[in-house]
Amino acid sequence: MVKLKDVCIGLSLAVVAAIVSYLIISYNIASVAPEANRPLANMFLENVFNSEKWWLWAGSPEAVTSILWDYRGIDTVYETAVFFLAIIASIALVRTLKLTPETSGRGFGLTVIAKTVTNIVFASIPIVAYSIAVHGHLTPGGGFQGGSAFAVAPLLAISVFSLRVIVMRGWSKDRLLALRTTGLLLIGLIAIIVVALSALKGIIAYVMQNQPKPWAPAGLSAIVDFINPTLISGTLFWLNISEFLAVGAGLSLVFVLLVSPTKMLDVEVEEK
Amino acid sequence: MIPILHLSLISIVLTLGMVFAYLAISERDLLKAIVYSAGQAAMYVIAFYLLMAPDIVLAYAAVGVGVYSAVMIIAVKKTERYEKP
Repeated sequence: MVKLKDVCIGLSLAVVAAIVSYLIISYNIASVAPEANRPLANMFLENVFNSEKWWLWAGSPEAVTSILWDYRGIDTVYETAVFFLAIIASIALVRTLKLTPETSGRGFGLTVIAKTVTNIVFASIPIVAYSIAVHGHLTPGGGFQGGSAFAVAPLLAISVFSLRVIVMRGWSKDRLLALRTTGLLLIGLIAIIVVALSALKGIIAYVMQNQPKPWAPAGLSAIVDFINPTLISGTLFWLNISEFLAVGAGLSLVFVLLVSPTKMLDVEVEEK
Repeated sequence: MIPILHLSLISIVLTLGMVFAYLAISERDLLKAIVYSAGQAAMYVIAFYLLMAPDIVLAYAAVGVGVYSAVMIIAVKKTERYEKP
């Protein structure tokens, strides 16, 4: 039932939005985005996959991933570390919680129809997520996008099959935390692997270096000859995989903890 | 030349997003409000796609429509479904 009040509020919102956008555009407060690229965008588009300027390229045709993991790589490492600390803090609240099949609810789940449909979808979500992650250096997407798409799979399984089934299948707190930590450790390792290898040869290299530079001739090769010559863009491929592991396992862990029965969490608080 | 069709598609989608946002705020049944909020996120996904930001589309579709709604539904399940007037 539409009320007069709702109609009035909606109309006034629309009028305010129209007036504000008219003022913004016609008085040059903020101009409409030009059709032509800005100089910064042109610089990145020209350099990311230009092997003639090999001292500036990232070896990947995907400009966003190149900026995230190569040109501004340390930013992304710190961002991942912040995300890791946030998850650690939320786990610290429930650190003595033990999730076993006996303690994780009744576990009836939904009807057979819902379960059958979910069986099919549940298999396809991780495949799509993995594909987003491993093609992160070629097409839009990457580790974070793949990981958050992957986290939808346990969520769906928890709501359709129940938490007990998920715990029985081995999605335990410790295992997910171990996967998450492995992802972060791999990112840290890849960040310094070029420095470590070139230090053995006595060459200067940078943390998070991807492709060789004239003054720091070290780096992972952009093309790997594995069965066929394959473009993996140096460190970008490995960083995307590690980020996928870290984000996918981290978000799944948070969901498993969130849906664990409230009774157990109450016991947790009373014991303190 | 300003691409009129492109701009008008963006404005239609964003207006629908605003309608969904208003419905989500004014709804007293929190489960329905979450669904409206997911609808708003879906509209924003289309807008990001039209603005040629496919990386944001992938992240926003997974987080805004899937993960965020699920976390909110869990929160509603553990508390109350109806907001008191």
